[in-house]
Amino acid sequence: MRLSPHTVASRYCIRGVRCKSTAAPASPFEPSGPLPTKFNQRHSSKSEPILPPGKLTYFPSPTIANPLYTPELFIPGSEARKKNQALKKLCLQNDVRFEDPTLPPLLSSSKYTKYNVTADQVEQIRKLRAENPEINTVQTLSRQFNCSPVFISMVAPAPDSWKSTLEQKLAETKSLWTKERMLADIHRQAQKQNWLQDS
Amino acid sequence: MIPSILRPYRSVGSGSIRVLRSRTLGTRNNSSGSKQPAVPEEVAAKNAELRVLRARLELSDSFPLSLLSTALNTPTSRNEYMKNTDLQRAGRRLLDYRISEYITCKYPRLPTEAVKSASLAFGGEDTLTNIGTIWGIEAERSSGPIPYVEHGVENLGKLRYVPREIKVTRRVVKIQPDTSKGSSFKEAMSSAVEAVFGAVLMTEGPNYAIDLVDGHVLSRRVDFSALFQFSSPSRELHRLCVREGFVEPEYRLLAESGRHTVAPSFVVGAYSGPDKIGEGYGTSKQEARSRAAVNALKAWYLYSPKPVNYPSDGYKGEEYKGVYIDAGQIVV
Repeated sequence: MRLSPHTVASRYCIRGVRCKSTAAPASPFEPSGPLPTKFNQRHSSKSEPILPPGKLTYFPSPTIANPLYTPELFIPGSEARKKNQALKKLCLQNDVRFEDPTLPPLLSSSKYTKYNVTADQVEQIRKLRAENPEINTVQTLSRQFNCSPVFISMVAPAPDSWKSTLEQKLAETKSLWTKERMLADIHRQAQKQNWLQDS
Repeated sequence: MIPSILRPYRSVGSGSIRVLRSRTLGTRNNSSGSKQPAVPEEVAAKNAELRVLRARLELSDSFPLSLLSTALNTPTSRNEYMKNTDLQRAGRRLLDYRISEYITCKYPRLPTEAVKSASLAFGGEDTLTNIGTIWGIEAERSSGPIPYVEHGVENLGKLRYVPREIKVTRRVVKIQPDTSKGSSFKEAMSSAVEAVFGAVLMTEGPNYAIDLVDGHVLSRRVDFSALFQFSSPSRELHRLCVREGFVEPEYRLLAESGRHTVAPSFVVGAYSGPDKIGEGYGTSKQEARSRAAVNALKAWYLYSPKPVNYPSDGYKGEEYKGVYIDAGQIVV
C-alpha cells in the first residue's frame, strides 16, 4: 500500500513542529525544508524565504492572552515556582523612566506620576475651576500646572451648575441625531463595556 | 480538628442512625408539636427510585433509604411523614462551608463581589436544581389545585411539595390562595438536594460528604475570568502597582496590522518595568490598551497558589499548612 506524502509527513510530525518532507525523515524532530509560509517558489523568488532559526521550531498559534496565567511579578515570593527569588521590587525615582531598547515601543509618551503639584497650587486649581469652569477647563489647567487631566478632575471636579449645563447641551445635540447615529452610539457604548470585561 | 459546623451531634455509624434521628431530627422538626414519623425502612426499601438514587450517588448499601426519602419530603408537602427541614439546614451549612473554603483558598485575591457570584454559581438555587435533575429526582405528580398525594410506596422516591402555581391550561396559571403554603419547583428541588448532602453528612461523616460535594458541585465549570466588571482598569492597575511597589505600568505596542485601513488591529502589552503583566488586542489602540489593563488585573486577582491547601484537609489526616492571605481589593 502506498501512502500519500501528506500521510507520511503527518505520521512523522508532532504538533507544533512542521516538516515538509515526502520521505520519512531520520528523526521526527528534523525538519527537512523551509516552513510552510506564504512564500511562493515562483512569485516570491526574489524575496528572502523565512527559514527556521534552528532544527527544532516551535510554532505556537496566535492566541488571546489567558488571565489564568499569572505573570511572575504577581506571584508572591513565598512560592517555590517564583524562579527569581531575589527579584526585588523595582522602586524607581519618580522622574526616571525605565528604558530598555530590547522592549517593544511605547504606545504613547506616557510619563510616570510626577507628584509635582504643591498644596497651594491645588487650592489655586480649585479656585480657578470654581470661578470660571468654562474657560478653566480640565485640559487648560492640566497644561498650566503640568499635571495629568485625571488629577485635575480628581482634585477640582466641575461645579454642579456647570455639569448640568453641559448635560443639557449634550442632550440638545443628541436630540438632533438621526436614528442611525443614535444606534451607532448605543453600539459603541456596548462595545466599550466589552473592553472593560475583556470579553 | 473538625470545624464545629461540620461536627455531627454524635459520632454516627450505621447502628446509631435511629438514635440520631429520633433525638435530633425528630424533636425540633415539627412546629405544631406533634411528632412526624420517619418513613419505615421496610417500606422505603421497596421503592425502586430510592434504590436507584442511592446507587447513583455511590452510597453504601447500608445507607438508610428512609433517610433519603425524608430528604425528598419538603416542608410544604401534605403528608404525615417527617420533613427535610433539619437535613436541609445541615446540607446548606456543609455546602456553604466547602464552597467558600474552595473559592477563598483557590483564588485568595478574588474580590468579595466575585466570591459571592462564584458561590451562587456553585451552590445557588438554579445549580442545585440542575444537579437534582441530573440525579434523576422527579417531582410528584400533581393534578388540579390540590395535588394528588398518595402515601404509598410509589411517591416515597419522588420530590414531594405543593406547587405555588398550578398550570390549569397552557396559558392560565392558578396561584395558590395562600402563597406561604406552597413553594416553587426550584425551591423544593434545591432543598431536597441540600437535604441529601445533609443526610450523607449525618450518616457517612464529613470526609465522605465533602468528597460528594467536590464530585457533584465543585466539579462544575465556573468561568472565574468572566466574573469581573471594571470601571477604570488603567487607573486600578496603576493603583495596584503603586500599592505593591512595582514600577508604574506602561503600555507597549507589540504588533499591529492595517493601521490606515477599515479593519486595523493592534496588540498592546501592559508592562511594569521589564515585566509583561498583561496583553490585549483591539481595533483601536485605545481598545487594546484597555483590554491589556483588564487582562493584567484579572491575572492579579486570579492568582492561585500551588499547591492549594484547604482547612478541611486537616481532618483527612493531612498536615494543614495554612493558606495565602491577600492584602485585599484595590481601592481606586
